[in-house]
Amino acid sequence: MLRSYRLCEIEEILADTDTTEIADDIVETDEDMQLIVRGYYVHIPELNLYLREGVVCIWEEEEKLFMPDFAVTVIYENELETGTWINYEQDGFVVTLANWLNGRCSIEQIVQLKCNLVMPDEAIYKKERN
Amino acid sequence: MKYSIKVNEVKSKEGGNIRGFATVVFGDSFKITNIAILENKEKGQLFVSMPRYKSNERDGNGSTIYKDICNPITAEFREELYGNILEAFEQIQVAEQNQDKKREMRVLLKSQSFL
Repeated sequence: MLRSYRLCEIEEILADTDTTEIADDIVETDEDMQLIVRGYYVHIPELNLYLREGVVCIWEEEEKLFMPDFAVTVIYENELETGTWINYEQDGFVVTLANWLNGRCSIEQIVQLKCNLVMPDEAIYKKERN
Repeated sequence: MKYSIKVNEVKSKEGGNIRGFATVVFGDSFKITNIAILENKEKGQLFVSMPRYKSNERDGNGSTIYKDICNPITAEFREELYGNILEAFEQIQVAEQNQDKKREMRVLLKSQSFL
């Protein structure tokens, strides 16, 4: 299901959206760290980039467990099925994207970018129901 | 105390120990996100870990000490809150299992209708 917004409003919208039915995904695991991303994502058609909220978890030797360390925004360039992210940063959507674009767009342009909030499970479920 | 709990399950093909994340909103006005639901595989137990930060302190082995950003301050409320978070997680798992069964049933009915 697609919902369109400006990038500057998306974090507030997400805070008020019930995403309970959408599972998170582990997209990367190595010895020391694990990257977990939210199942929903934000697509920016103009740049063909995808943004996801995520959490970096680190391996704790004493506990023998991965433990959450810090929240990040993860950027994907291609379709999400490939599962390969291109960058992540310990910051929100706008700042992470601005850093990735490295001056190619001003912050004023970035906050006004149109984006779609995509809830994949919900979309699949509705498609199946029809 | 009035509060609501939302839980997201973590899907893992490799069977990681982080099973989900909870968000708790107190009194419709104060929100705590990224409360982790973890599994101790040795004990087969789920437990709750509040969001933490890296402190400057080190333990005896020189490892960084993490401290909770926030936590319940009475044993009674901790027991209540953590119990309710784990209950919400169990409910979401049951709901998902039921939905999976419905999906399987739909696929089965569709394939039968093609026969």
